Amino acid sequence: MKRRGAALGLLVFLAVWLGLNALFVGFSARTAVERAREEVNSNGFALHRVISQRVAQHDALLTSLVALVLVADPPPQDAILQVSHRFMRFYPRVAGIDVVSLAESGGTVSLRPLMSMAPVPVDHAGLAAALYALTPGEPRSFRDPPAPTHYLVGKKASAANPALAVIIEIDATLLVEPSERPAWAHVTLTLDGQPLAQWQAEQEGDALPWLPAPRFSRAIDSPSQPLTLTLVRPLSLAEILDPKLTLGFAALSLLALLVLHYAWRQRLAARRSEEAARLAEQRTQLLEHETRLAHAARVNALGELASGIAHELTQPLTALLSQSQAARRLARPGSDPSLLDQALEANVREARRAGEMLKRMRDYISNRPPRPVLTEVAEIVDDVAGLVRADLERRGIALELDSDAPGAHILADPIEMEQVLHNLIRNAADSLDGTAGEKTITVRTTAMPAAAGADGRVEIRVSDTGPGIPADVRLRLFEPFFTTKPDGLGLGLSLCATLLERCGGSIAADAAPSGGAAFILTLPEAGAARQAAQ
Amino acid sequence: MTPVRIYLVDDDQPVREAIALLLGTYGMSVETFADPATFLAHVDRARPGCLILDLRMPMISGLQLQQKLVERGIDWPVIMITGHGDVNACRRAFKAGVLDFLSKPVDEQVLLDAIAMAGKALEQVLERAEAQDLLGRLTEREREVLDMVCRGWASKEIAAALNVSARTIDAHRAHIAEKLGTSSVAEFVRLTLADPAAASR
Repeated sequence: MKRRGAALGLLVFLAVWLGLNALFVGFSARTAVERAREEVNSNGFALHRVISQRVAQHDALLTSLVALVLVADPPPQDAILQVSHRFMRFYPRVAGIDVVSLAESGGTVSLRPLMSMAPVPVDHAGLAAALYALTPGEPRSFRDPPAPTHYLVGKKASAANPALAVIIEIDATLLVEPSERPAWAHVTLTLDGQPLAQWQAEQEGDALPWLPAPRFSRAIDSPSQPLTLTLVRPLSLAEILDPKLTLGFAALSLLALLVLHYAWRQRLAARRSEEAARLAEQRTQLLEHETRLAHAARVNALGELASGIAHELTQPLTALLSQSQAARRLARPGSDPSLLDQALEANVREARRAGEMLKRMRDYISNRPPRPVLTEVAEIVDDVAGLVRADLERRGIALELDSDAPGAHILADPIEMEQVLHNLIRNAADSLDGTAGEKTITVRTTAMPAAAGADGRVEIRVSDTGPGIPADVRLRLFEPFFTTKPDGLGLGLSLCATLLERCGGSIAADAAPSGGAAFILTLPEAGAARQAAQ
Repeated sequence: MTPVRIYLVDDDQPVREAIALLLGTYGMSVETFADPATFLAHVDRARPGCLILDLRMPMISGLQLQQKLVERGIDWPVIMITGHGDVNACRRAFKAGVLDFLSKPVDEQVLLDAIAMAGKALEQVLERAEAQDLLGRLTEREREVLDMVCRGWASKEIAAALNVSARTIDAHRAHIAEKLGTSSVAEFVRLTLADPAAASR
């Protein structure tokens, strides 16, 4: 039971600790993801702004080139080349600049490069027609199949046929400079849904597949170049969970929990010891109370006993007085000296007898602590029988003593045992008072020798021929303050039980074969102690 | 005073022995009994004596014993001794006709006084028994004549009252003197007074 409790306690402790750590992990992961999302967003916006600016520059280049193309006919090649050259030097992402002529005849558009700073690959199908279809002054982007990372931006200069157009080729991978690009993100630039440039994040550890990665995706603000910038930040376990912090928290929480647990245990122990102290206090009070009650009961019983003792005591005193007075007369000259001797002898005997009685009475009423000594059971029974016999005879009750345990000894306070026996006999006598017919109280002593696993015991059985004890009463007999006598305190039998328990014995109620009541005292036989004492 | 015969009934042997010894030193003969039943079996009307009874004894108490004796017509004086100065027991004892009620331990002098009183009481009892016995021998007519003699009437007066001759009365008186063993009028008076039957007359 105790071990199971301890195991349960350990489980609860572990569960609390794990729960705490799970909460901490969840919280710190959430915070990390939130932080990553903010980072992605702020970096995304910054990059978006830069790219938008750069894309706008392309528009500006186109506008200025178209303006130059339209200055004269034929266009001023030197100026155009110069501007182009300049531009390409400043902006390495511009991979090529072409001025082309578009002629339409019979539904097909032919394209002829006029001048080129760096030739733009314009020979792929559809480009000429698409350029020709443009509204003059409105630039538009095209994919450049031979170079997947490049795109073209074209602008038609006029609506005439043939028309002039300017095309620039942009290297999308250079739209973003390495220093501007966060290393931790996958960055993608797409045009018309097709990826133009992609940069992989420099990642430590695997991304968590189940964790939605923070993502930034926004179209670049340019009608001519509808690029879309996407930043995705894959998160690895190490990024959302700081192992040091997690381990630190685990250790710290474990420590804190241990301290708490210890404090709780201490408090529990303190409360328990407080409780134990309170119980002990209660028990002490109860014991004191019992001792007082025992004393009270003894004094009470003394009242009943007094008449018996007085009767007994007057006998030796009567004999003493008469013998002494006779002796005084016999001491006169001429009297029979042998009679004098006899009288004095009787006096000594009677004085001793009276003294014995007084001693017994003193022992009985004094509130002294129990003194367990090796006592012969027969002596106790005989003493009590001597005390009660006169009273019983007066009431017409026969007292029968019966023993098959001569010389049986117990380790008990003889006075207390006498008190118990006296109590039982008194109860039996009370129950016999109202009855007709045979009135007998039997005290039977039986030895129960030591058997395997059981020590030797002595049984003293006090039975009467009275009306017996009803079953419902028998159950409550040994309860304190339970009584069936109109003027009883209800302490006698409870006291008996206490006194017997004190010396390792027990008391039980039974029915006598005659139908009367029987009380059985069982006491440990002190045979071993007696042998040791000898 | 003639030595009185004493019967002592007490269940305690040392007490019996002590009292017997003490009274023995006064020359009294004490017969002791351990219980009332033995005494009842032993008691002899022809050997009267004073009774010293313990009030509290097994089976039959001193008072019950006294009652049993009275039932048998033995009304010898009883001195009750007891270990208890119980007022109720004392009252009942006196009501029952106990002569004295002494509490144990009994002092020598108190006991001797009680015994002396009992001795006198026993004499009276015996006298009464004797008177009863003597008067019981008279015929009714003789008893009638005796009563008148005791009132101090002369023979003539008695003869007139009974309407018989004076000679007849004289003959009655001679018979009476013969039966009672005396012709003294004073003796006649003593005898009739001792008779409990006369007291009611």
